[in-house]
Amino acid sequence: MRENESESDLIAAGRAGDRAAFEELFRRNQRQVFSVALNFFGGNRQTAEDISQQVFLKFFLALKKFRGDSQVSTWLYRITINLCIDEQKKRRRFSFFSELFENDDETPLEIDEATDKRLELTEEVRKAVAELKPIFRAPLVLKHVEGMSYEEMARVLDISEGTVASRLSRGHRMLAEKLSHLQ
Amino acid sequence: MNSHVTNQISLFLDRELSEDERREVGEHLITCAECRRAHDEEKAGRELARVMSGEDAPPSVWAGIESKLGQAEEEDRARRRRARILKPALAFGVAIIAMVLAAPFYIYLTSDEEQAAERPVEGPVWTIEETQGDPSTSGSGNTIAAGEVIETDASSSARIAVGDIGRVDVAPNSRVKIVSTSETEKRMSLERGRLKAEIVAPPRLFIVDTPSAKAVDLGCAYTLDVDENGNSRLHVTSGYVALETEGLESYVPAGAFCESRKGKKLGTPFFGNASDLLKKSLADFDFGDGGPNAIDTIIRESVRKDTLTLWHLLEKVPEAKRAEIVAKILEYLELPEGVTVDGLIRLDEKMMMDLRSDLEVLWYEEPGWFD
Repeated sequence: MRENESESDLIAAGRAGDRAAFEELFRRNQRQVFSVALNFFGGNRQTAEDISQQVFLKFFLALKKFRGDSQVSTWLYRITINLCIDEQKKRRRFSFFSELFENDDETPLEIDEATDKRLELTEEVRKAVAELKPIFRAPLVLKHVEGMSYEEMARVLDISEGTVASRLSRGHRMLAEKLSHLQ
Repeated sequence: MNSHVTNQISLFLDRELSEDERREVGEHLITCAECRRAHDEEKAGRELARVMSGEDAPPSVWAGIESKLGQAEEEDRARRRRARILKPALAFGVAIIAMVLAAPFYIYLTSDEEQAAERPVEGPVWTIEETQGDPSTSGSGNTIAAGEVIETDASSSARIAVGDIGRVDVAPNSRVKIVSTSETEKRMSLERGRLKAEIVAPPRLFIVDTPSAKAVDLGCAYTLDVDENGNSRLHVTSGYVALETEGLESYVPAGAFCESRKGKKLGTPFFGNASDLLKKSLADFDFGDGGPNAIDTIIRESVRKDTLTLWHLLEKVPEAKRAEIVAKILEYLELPEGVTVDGLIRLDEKMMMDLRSDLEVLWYEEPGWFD
């Protein structure tokens, strides 16, 4: 087990082809990548899994180019957002947009009524967020799922903090309008 | 505070403002019904967005990554094996031939693993997926590799799979040379004719050279034409493309066109639905002797989406004209925080990029974007 190794040691080992180091880097960062993709695509787990695989493959194959002047997590967030936007464009191009709203074929969990209502609300919000343009969707997901600051969002999205603020503002207001029946 | 504070509400709610700014915004909200409504809407949106949550990736994600890493390593080993094959060296020159009687000369490239990894290695050959008529190619069979050419006549065309990132359709009467098929750069040269590219890849991975500019993919689909004089015309149908030449760059989103002419400066992007008069004046300005009259016409004819053209023109017009262009842009958009008219007239790089970020929202509304 390598949970005590520093990130820089794991990166050095990963560059040398150490698969176990890759696995530890994956273990430490998988939740952030999967969560962003899941919420970006309205709760579609299959798409979130595909995106997560692509993100880590790109990360591992490009590890030699990682200069180490930003954190791995920042780099991964940036790859994730870019791949989500690419995937969104591809879906639009090939008219797969309706997939976003298909139910995953999963066995229903046994849950109490309060939890059930909360999950329903979560799914409804995720789907409404997924209807927003990606430029508004990305900061909403990074703020509310990942709890990022304006500075962190600006760094990941490569825009100014002022632009982050204006996109968050418009995104929140559009979300409120779409879900006005819930208020 | 007299002006509205809608662009500060997010910062207000997140307590990102100073105490003085916060007090000013708060006082404004008490007296301004419009801003208060925006504040309430944003607050409601935030409450809803808070229910989104994160989850761990299922185990199948790592299993899939391991499997694909294994495949990639096997491909890498195969490439290294190919790099160790004996290759013929160049023959010596005539004088040397006279001395050594033109002895054939072979060398090993090297068997050293490290050296092999550092040497530029072309990626796998690409596949010609479909053809119509009988295009000529210097590739073998239905594949084409770096350095090889495909040429179509009036009755032929071809579709090339660009690795696993997309495809390029080569139209009739076109000549395309493959420049690089590597993992880090996929590049081709359109010497004449037309190609249509559909690419889904990280920005700047796929590049098409023409005699007058290069088209750099930023995640997109587009059509590129090159005429008999080497002039290019780019039409982006999805995503966006950078058209570049000699250190200049035009940023071309879906729905927009951009031209470049050999020996002239790079053209300015414009939307296809811009007025005919705007397009004519822009051509006069970019490639003719339009001068100040053309600029005045462009400003006058510009509507909301033509801010794309106006933003690019800021860097091309004399300083005296920049204020007029900024004033026109302000008809459609409030300046982003931290961006000033003076800064834009000075062409402050950061302010220009911040303005472009906000203007993109207007440009994205063009059909073909991913909204």
